[in-house]
Amino acid sequence: MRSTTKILALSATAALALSGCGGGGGESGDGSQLTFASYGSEYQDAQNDSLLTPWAEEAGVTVTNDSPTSYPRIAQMVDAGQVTWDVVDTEPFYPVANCGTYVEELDFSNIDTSQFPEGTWSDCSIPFAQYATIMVYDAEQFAQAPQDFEAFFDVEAYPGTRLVPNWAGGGALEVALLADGVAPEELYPLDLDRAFAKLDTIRDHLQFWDTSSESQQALEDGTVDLALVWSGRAYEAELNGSTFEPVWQDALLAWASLSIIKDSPNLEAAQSLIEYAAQAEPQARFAERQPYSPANLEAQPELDEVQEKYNVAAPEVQDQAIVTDVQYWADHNDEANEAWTAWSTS
Amino acid sequence: MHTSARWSALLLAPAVLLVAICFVVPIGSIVLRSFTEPELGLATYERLFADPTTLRVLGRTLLVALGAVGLCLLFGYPYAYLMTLVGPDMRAVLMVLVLVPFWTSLMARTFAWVSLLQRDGPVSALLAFAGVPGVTLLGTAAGVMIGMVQILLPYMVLTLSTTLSRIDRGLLTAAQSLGANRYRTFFQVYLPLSLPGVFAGSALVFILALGFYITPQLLGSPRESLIAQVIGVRVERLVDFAGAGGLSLIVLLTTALCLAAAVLAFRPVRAMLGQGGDRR
Repeated sequence: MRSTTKILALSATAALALSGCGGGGGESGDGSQLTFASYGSEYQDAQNDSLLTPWAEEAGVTVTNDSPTSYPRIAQMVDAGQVTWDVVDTEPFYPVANCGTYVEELDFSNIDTSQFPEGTWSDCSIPFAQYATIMVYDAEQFAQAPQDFEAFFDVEAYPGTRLVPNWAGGGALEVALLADGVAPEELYPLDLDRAFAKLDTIRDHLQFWDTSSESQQALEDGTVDLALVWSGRAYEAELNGSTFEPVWQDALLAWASLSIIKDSPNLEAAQSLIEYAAQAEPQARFAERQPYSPANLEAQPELDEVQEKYNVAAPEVQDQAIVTDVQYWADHNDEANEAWTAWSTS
Repeated sequence: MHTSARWSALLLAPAVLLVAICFVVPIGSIVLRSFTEPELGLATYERLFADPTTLRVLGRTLLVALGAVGLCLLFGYPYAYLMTLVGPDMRAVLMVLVLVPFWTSLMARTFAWVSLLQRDGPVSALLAFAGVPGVTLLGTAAGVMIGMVQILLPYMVLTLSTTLSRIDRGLLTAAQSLGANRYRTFFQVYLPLSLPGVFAGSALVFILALGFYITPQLLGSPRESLIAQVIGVRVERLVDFAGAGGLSLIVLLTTALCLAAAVLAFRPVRAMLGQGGDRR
């Protein structure tokens, strides 16, 4: 029996050594490389073409890509002291909620923030592109275009299934309150109970999306009649022949945020990338590739007709849009999501 | 005997190691966090049980798993029984039909159900043709159950067919020659002999059903959410490893309790029916 025990112990040690040491080291830290994490697919390809590749050539840095952005993964790598990502694309609330803990404070001495819309940048992030959560409706179904979110809750005038994002920060709570008569300037802090009560009035007509590709698919297949979706997905669906039309009244403005992961091994290169990304040119190039508008309002992308239709940076859209309150979401994300799960699963 | 035991231990070592590294270590570390974060104690569990979602979704998960077991038995038992009656060629065909779903990825099959069950999809059209128009099963409990049973049925059939094929059909002839009618023969002779297979298949399907994530996520609405999805929300949206670990332990213990209760309940039934059929 003794030899068995010995072999067991030996192989256990070997296996543990193998599994334990795999993640050690990470990157060189000499500034010659950088890992960029974002949301994958064509979106990240466009980020590479418009931003990372030109910057990397100029800076002499090798860029590695990873996806998708994952908050638990960031928490794990920072807590374990094995940071393998440097720059990350996140939802806007994240760098505000985790500034200094999971993401680094940025050096703004070489960044001109005057061209960003108010409230879109923070101590730990810059906006790279803008999008909006908007109501879209099936124009084949409804001759009369809905004017505002009240129509979303009016199942008499607009019968049919409504598709909404399946998490608290997805926009359904804001939309419910606006439809219930809350003034845009009094929207925050959100009255969660009132929002859920309003959503309950159309509960049997609701469907939910978790990934934005699901929402686009639903528009293309026509399996819903009204929806709350990201403007970019409505644009993509229209290119693929969907019959849905956007309503811009009270569109909820959001933006892609770029941040540096806390304890990034390539801090200098990461800061240089952020400074480059804040400029008008890469943002304009990106907007020409993807249906998201520049956050740097100095950028002058050349847009085709459909892109212009979904251009969130257009003055008439900006005028009637509502900027989501990232500070509220940074402070209340957990509480609101627990309430959302309790509501949605019952 | 002694030498062979030693060899068995040696041969088992890789498997034990694999289970230890791939299962015990991760589960242990995440469960540990549920007791140590934010500080040592049971705060995580207080929090989880104060959240009405926990017990509601846990209860729903158990009910759905039981429902899946029931439906799998309903469809799987006659099918496995049929496999014992037909000739070897037909049995091979029936076996392949059961195994085919195993060769397709769970993801692909679930997406196939999405397009079958969606609004104005084939199932909806079929129901309309049969006189029930306007039914969409996607996003309903029925839709989730259809998808789950389709995935779980092979496990039930394979487990049952092993037991059923070992039942000596001569015993049925004997019972009938002694004057028992067909029902009595089935309920007093065949069914008791098949119970070990029923129990093994049910336990397997039940445990697998408790962990379902993709199927309810794609075929159901949030109202059909199972516990794995709620654990997913804790990790992905709340970055709450302690809460996720706590929920995992709750599920693990609930499963163990259910199985222990089933074993205890099964024992007297077997004794009553006289030794069951398992003579290994």
